[in-house]
Amino acid sequence: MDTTEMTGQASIWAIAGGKGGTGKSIVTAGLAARITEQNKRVVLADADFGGPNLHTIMGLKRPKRSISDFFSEGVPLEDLLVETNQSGLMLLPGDYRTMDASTITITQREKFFRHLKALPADIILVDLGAGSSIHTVDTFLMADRPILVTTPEVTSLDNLYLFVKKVLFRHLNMVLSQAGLKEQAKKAWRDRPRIDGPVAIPLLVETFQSLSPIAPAIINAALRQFRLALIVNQIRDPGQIEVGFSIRSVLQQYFLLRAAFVGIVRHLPDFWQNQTAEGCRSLFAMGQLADDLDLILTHLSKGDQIKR
Amino acid sequence: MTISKTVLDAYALLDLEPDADFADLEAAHRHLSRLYGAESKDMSIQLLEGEWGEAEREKVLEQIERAYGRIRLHLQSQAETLAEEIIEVDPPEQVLPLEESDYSGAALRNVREQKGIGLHEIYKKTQLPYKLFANIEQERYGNLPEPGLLRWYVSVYAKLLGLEAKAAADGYMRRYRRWSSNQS
Repeated sequence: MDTTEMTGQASIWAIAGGKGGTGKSIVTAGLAARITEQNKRVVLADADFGGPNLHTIMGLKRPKRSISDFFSEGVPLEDLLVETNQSGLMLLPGDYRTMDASTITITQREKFFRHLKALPADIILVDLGAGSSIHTVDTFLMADRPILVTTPEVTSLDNLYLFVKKVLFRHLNMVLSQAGLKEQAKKAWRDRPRIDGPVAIPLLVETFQSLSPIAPAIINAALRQFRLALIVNQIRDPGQIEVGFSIRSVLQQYFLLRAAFVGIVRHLPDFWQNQTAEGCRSLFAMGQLADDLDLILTHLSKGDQIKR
Repeated sequence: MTISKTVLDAYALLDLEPDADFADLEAAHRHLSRLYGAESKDMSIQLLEGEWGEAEREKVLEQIERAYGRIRLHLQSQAETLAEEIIEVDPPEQVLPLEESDYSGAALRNVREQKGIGLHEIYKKTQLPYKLFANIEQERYGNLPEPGLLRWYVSVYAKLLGLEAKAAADGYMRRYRRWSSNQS
């Protein structure tokens, strides 16, 4: 639940999806640009370690310092922010020195979130890298709004489900650990019934629920409170919207997670021709992409979603 | 009318909004039965097939059927309560003689328009989904509820137009049955 508006702190939106090349960074940057049109201050944080490209999308030269200076040298986040050509939008550049994100500790990540929240911004969009590294999964789980971006292709969906699975297990493990059931959860995982291939998630969750009399209540609350948002990018024909409805239903039925299908982004055939040294600024300013992103923002702010 | 938690859960399971009507329910049911059916061609289902297993998927199908039945019952009892109230408070002011063949959706719509009654007024009086009456007029039979209930709706609608309810319902349902026997 996003309660940040009441506390005056920045709301953190984390965008991930498992697969690279789904246009996730463009969607993230585009959402950031559209939010500034509502006179809100936005920070765009590039947390794609090893593969940052938000500065290019925003039409900026490769910045000298990056997010890794915060983790490795403790440089304050404010000092790392760079202005963009979009008023109200600051960029926290991504790491170019291929810092090993797996060395980031939980304490460091918690500090990172505290510092992010204290930045002079209304909304902070964190663009996470491809894959399902522990850093990506944990950052996604800690965000006020976890947002999934995928394309309607089988390869994207494959990686998306792998990512969601890791997110789900990490989430359940964390809540069970906090409830003092860490060892039991580990054991249940080790002894999980594998007859033929991987065990089905609903069955495994049932196993977790039988760990202790309090486990069902803890797990059910954790599943209920975790609300995903889903965006399907690069839609080429209206029939592909169905993919989003299927994902939403499968997330609920199989992964036991609630998701709001907040929008689609239609494919732009001449997308690459439209990019200049200014990045994607003109694409974000008006037209089809801007319209699609605005609808997503409306759905997110109203807690609404696409209807059939 | 208070809605029980099991009914609310059923709405969530079928991904339905609280204001969903019969047509929405049917559409969701059709979609989900196809999505989780044995012949599913959906990418998500095919990807997860290996780990999910047939038994689990059948369990989902069963849950969907149960939720579907629950919501149908809920919508029916809701509609029946409303229909009873309407029939009591709205005596027909004027009964128009019409041939039985004149009770097509289009003919009913003509009567309504001649009397200057808007669909929204019918909605206001009945609190039944606007779409329902539009579907009755357009004879979009596939989107209409089961015959027993449909008959009731048509008679309520006819009564509101000042028509003889039984004759209207008989005429309309005859056309409906012709369509439904052609379906099977």
